[in-house]
Amino acid sequence: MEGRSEQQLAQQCLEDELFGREARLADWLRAQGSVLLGFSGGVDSAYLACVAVETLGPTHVLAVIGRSASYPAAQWQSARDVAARFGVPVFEVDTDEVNDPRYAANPTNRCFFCKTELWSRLVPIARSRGLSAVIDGTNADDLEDYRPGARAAVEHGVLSPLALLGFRKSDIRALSRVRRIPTWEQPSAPCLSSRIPYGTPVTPARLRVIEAAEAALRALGVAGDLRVRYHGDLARVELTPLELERWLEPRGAAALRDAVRGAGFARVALDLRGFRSGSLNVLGGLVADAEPAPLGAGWTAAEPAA
Amino acid sequence: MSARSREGLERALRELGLHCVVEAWDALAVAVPELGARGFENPETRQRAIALARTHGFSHLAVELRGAESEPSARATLSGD
Repeated sequence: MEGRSEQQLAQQCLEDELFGREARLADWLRAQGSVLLGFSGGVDSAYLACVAVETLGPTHVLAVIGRSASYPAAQWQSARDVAARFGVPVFEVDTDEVNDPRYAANPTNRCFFCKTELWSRLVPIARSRGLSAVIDGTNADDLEDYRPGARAAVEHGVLSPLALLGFRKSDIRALSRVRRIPTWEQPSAPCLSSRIPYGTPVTPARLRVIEAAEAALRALGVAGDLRVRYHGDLARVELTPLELERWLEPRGAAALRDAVRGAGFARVALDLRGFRSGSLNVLGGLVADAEPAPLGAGWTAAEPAA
Repeated sequence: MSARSREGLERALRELGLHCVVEAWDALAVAVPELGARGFENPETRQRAIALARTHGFSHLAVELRGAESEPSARATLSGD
């Protein structure tokens, strides 16, 4: 310890804590024996998939991608790429929440119906393959948000080890970086329906326009957090503060406008405050109740199928 | 938040040198600049505009990116597809 600065010691403590938490995660996974993971290829589930395969081996892990119109196709490719790189066995199923009228009406608890659809497909797969636990990548930060989808997970006996063991998003990013998982610096990517204000119906056509607009902006070179918010024929684009500076300049603004219009919006506006998570929740007077997300207690093979 | 006033915000933005028409979409104000008008790219002006929007009851302020081909008639409807 001699000769080390306080800053170095603090850094060492932080690293010890993080690696200690990862060791507890490995112990927890060993105690399950085998797992089916709901896999989106995002920061959390990619990390969890890698640790699970390293701990249990590929024959005791199955990462299942629930493909839905409410996620961009590029995300599934990213999920497949991460899985291939780290030897994670993947299985893909299609989900159909967009055609559930309760979901399509876009109520504030929309995510409950999406996750109900997802888990009602995935839990039977776990049972049929003899996998002991169904898990997801929910983290400790998520528990502080309004997450109606978490209730669906609880109802289906899905476990959230990252949240149970106190992993925060920043922990997962740091540990992913150490493992060289490319998602470590990936922006959060909530579903495309989150771009549509509550109460405005979600339709496949609207999702496709939003997806195309965001893809066009990425192709143009927009970096960092990005949302194309749907307001009928107008797209309200949210960018990070740095990007906002860049794209408000006349030449950038023209290119950005043309890209979004090319995707199908008639009008394009830049939000002057830039990216805000959950920004649509305060518009239109519909605000979700602040309800802490619950944590599941798991299911056993003896439980009836959901 | 104060009572919402589209006209008040439009007037305040003009006094700030931002020549635009303001559309109110619930708590979102969309500033539609007059053709050739500039000013929102200045960070200080932008911050003042955001503060004015809040003062006039809007939680969000966006600026429409208009092209020379934009026609007022194309901007008349709020609903989309």
